[in-house]
Amino acid sequence: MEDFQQILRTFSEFERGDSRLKRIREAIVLADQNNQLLWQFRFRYEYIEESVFCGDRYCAMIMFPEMLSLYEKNTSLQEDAYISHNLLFCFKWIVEAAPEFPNISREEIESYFRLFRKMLLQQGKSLSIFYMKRCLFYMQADPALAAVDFYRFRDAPLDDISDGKAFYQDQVAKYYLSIGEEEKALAAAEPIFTGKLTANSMPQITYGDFCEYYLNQKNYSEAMRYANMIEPKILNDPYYLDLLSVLLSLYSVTDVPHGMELFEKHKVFYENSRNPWLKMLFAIGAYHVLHSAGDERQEKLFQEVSEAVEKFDTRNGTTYYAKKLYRFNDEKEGIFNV
Amino acid sequence: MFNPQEYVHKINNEEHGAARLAHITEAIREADNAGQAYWRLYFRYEYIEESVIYGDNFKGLLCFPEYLKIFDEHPEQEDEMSQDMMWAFKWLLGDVDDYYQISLEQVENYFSEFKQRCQKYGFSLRTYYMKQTSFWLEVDLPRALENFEKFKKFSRNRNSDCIACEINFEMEVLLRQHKEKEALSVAEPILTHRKSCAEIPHVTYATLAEYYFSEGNFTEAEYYADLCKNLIFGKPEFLKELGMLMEIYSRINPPEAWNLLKYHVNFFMKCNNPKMKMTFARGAFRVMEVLQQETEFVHSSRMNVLPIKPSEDGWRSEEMKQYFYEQAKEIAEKLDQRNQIPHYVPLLEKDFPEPLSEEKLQEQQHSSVHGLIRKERASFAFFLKNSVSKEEICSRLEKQNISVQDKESYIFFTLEQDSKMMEMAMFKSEGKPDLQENPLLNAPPEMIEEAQQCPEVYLFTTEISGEPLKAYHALMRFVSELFPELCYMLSLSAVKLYPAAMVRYAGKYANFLSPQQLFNLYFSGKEEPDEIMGVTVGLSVFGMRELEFVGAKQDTFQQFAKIIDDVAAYCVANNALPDEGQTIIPCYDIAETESDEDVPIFWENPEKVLKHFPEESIFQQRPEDCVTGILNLHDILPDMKQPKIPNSTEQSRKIHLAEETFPLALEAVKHVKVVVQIAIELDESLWGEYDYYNELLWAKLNPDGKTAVLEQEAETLPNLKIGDTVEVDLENLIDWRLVLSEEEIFSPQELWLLDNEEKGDLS
Repeated sequence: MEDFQQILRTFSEFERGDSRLKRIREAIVLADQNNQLLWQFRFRYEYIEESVFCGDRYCAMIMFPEMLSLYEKNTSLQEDAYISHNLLFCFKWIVEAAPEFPNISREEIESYFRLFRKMLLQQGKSLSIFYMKRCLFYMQADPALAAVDFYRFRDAPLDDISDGKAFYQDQVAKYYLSIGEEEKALAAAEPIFTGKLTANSMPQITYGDFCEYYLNQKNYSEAMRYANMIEPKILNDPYYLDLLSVLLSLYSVTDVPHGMELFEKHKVFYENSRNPWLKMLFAIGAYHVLHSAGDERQEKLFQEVSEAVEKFDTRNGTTYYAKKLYRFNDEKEGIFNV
Repeated sequence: MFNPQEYVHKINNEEHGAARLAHITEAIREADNAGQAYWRLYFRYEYIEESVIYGDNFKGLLCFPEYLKIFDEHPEQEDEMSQDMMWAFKWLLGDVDDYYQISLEQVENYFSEFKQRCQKYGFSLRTYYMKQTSFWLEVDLPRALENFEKFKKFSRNRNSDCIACEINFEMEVLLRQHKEKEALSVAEPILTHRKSCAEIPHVTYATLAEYYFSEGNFTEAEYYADLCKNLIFGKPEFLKELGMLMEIYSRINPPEAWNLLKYHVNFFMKCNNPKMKMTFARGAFRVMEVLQQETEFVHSSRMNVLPIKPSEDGWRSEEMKQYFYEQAKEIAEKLDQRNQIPHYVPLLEKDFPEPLSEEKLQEQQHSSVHGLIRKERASFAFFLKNSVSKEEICSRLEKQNISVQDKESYIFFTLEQDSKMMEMAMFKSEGKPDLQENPLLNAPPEMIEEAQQCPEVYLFTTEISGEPLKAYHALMRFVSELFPELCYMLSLSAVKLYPAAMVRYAGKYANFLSPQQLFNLYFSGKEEPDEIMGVTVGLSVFGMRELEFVGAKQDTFQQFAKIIDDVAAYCVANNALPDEGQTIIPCYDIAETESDEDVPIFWENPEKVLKHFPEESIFQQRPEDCVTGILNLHDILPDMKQPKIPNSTEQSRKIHLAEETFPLALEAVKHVKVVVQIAIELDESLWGEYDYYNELLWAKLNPDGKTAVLEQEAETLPNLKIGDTVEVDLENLIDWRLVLSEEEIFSPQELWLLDNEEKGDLS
């Protein structure tokens, strides 16, 4: 029989991202062939984790239904607290990732959330993470429901399924910024800015929240202050296409040559990404900078991005992303209307 | 136009209680006008929740039937709202007991309706039987136990109360059956702060206080009552528990009972919940019954809310007693009538329980001192240079305004530390502890010899309360004042020897002691098979479990030792009480991946560990009797490499000590070389380039005490060179050193070494 423990150890020998995903995929096939239930589950978990943290979440979305079905069909997995805990972790990543794919309808997303809530409750977990992730979705789809979820998430206790405290604070800051409560947002972000709370993608994500907020406020000097702190931390990392988008939009106003340089350097990630949400966001920023530079590629890009924006906004029933795409319209009337 | 988002913000930014209820009422009205089912239900649920959790649940109870009706009229909202509805229904069942206005028939109808809905929405009947048990628990124990047995047959579901509430419930049922030991065992996760919620441990403490009071164990009753009081003071939603405490305090601490009465009587007047009112009135009646014997009149402007007119001398105690008695009796009669069982009236007429005899009390305390994790008493020995009589010690204590009880050879006294009382017992030792024989005492032989030669030794025991580091600081401050002739202090619990200068220094500077100075590590093992175990010594005096590891080998045990040392230090510094299954600390795994991911370390049952890591597990070699081990989420030691335990508390204590003792360095700069370490902020443009924001540099302090000359090249600050002058102040000070000679360099942590006759007393 295969030594699955040994196979698990070999994963770290592969470069993070696609090559490691390929290796884990092979391990899944082996575990399936040998009918090793625990390893079938464990490798799928590894696969989803890799896709979420070192990929574009596309593979995770494909794999999760398989993992869920494996879990639901096998009571031995359901009775195992450790396995159930791991499933909840994956579920947490998936409910966050699902809205990034416009072909997943709002009803499907909401039913994912309902199932996630049910499983959290079944395992006696706090609903904090459920409300946090749903709030994130409703911020683009339904601000009133986002408000409901925000307060429930803020008041619910954190537990071992919750994101770390840094993410919790970031989400609080993000929400306050979305409703224009700058002071409250700054207070929430204070432990992140002072380094008291940290995580892999912190503080750059929080800087990104503020950078975008000031960009929307047209306070470009403040936005640039954050941009200068973000940029060195996210260069050449496909994980941060969304933050790059904010920088590109900002540079389209403040420093077009630098924006173009950034665009050229990262367009390969855009081209290779299979995550429609990241692609759309990057394209919004890229379009702004190409437009300001008078680059001829802008028209083709606008075609792509406006289609993507329409898909997302139609699915959500809002104009959340259209506002991002046309964020400079007031200032330079007509310029961005093609 | 109806803007639900605006109301959601308005409500959530308002204080809990009446003001928030007013906003929700407005939102309900608007949602009804707009005819939007989701929001009509959402705001009603908020209303019920607010009333139940932060009020007397009266308004929630009134609102519920309407809420249920709207819910039933809108089946399209079932998916989203059924969970909320079932929660609200559960709360209702938890409260029907409180209202005599709800007849037994109505109660039974509610229960039967709830049961049907549980089945409809796929919930098990666990909560149903739980609420049935609670309803009958006080008045009909056999019926309650019948339901309790059924409750246990169902597993938790998504309508269950939180785990803390369920634990508390089980504890209550066991206490009703006088199964004290089992009840404490069940409640252990609450008593060790592993499980809590908005009402727990408050209610748990109140229940335990009431139980011990009724059993005549007033010591335990007071202990839990004090804990409870700190949590519920000023909170109207705990009016019932306040009544319970008043009843207890009226017997064991009447001034405290009176205090509770006067501060909460206005809540009593506003309360609409009959059972809460009755329990409070019963407590108030007990208080006045006691006060009446002491004084004819009582005075407090807070009593103006009562419908009793004061005379010129104040409120007549007798009249107050009668008022509260009647209030309690009226409701008690109605509740008994509704329940068809006489329970509350007899309870009101009952006399105070009698305290247990000394012998009985000791017997009880043996099994139940403050829950099951027993905090060991800390023991110390003080080695004195000269003989000091017991009388002299008593007189020194009295000079410090410490009242002393002298019981034959023991001296008893109480020391206040951070408003907590530390009971001390001290006696003169006939013999001397044998230091040479103790393998744990890792002190230089000359120190041990010097201690052994001291003519007088006093032994001393106390219970360490509060935060360990603060408690030790307070203790050492007290000891250095009490014993000017102190030569050494020995912690018998941790087997640590502290020289007098160190005790004085630690007594003076709160940030001096490091957590490691409060406990010890003990290792044992054998060569064949190669196996080493390690255990901490001395954590039990802080109410913590000793931590241990097994299965290490000679080439890996230092790695294990470092981890256990760091984890124990974290526990001491943060007053954490680790126990099986509990996350002690999230730390960073700095294995090959160098990831910053949080990796909790927690104590876990080895059986569970083996299940998930069946191969090459270190635990396969564990002795059978070992119950704890370190489990990392991803792997098990030694593959895990060294986790990095956050020690920001320690770093900040070190910086504070450097700041506190900086005046000593300024004094010393006149005679010796002083170097300071200062933090210089990097330019913002460099922040992304490095992992840090400040560069720490050493510089020689100038006699002005405000500037220093750099002795170290900066890595990130090209404009700074060796020999440059930089400013020094407490804002940028990180650390400092006294350089007496090349061999003698002293840090703030070591300055106590200079505090002796040979080198001059710098402090």
